[in-house]
Amino acid sequence: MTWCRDQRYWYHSRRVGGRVISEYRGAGEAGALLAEIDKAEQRQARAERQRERAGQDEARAVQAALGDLACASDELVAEVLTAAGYYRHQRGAWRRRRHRP
Amino acid sequence: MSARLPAKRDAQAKRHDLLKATNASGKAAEARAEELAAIFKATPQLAAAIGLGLTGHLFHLLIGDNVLRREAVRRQALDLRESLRQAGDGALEELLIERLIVSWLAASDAEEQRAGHFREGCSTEVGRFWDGHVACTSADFARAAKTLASVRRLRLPSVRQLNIGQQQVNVMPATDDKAQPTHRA
Repeated sequence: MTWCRDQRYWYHSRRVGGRVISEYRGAGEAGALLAEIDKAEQRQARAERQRERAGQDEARAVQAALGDLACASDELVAEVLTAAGYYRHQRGAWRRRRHRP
Repeated sequence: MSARLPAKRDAQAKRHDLLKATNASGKAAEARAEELAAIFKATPQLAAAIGLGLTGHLFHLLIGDNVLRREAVRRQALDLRESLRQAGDGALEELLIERLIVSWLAASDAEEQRAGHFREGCSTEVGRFWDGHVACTSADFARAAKTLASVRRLRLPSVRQLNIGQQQVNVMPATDDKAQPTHRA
């Protein structure tokens, strides 16, 4: 978004398919008004992007913490069951060792 | 210093419960205490999980600072915990229930966030991210439920099969056998 030719014409630039396209929006009083509206929209979009990024960062933190908790509790389960005489059959289900007289 | 003491007492209580969960007594308890101490030393994140450090962190991440939401979720979590508890549960089951509650909360929160994004309208990338988040948290919830179920199943007395004549008969062992997983060898 920019003013062209001594701040007389307001152009709105956007990227379409890898190319930047400048659209004429207005001049004079109307141009100034449209420039304000475009800038406000741009600020709002930036704030929304930041909010979205923060939300995604939080979600990633939740995933990481859940992963840590899962690893820790799985290790604990494995240790307790192994100590109690169980074993994992072919890395699958836990089984009790058979009594051999 | 004084603020640290309750946490230390709490950690000791958890350790005691954990010992009970392994069905230890006398000298065996001491041997297992050393074993557990070695485990905790090797995996410090385990001690944090048992001290509920991780679950506390997750609760804060998921609920935030909103008092109304926090109290409502706490009530639901307490109800869920009560419904999951069974007589004779040890510290291991308590930890797994805690994990299940946190996973349930994370999965519910992920669903809610994804629904909110789809309702308001979002880009494909954003939608894909929240789909992935829901899939991840749901898988974790299923895994937590499976682990708890596996531990509970192992505590049940195993059915023994006898062949009498031409018929196979399933025999349940004595009920005092099911208290805790024990050494059979």
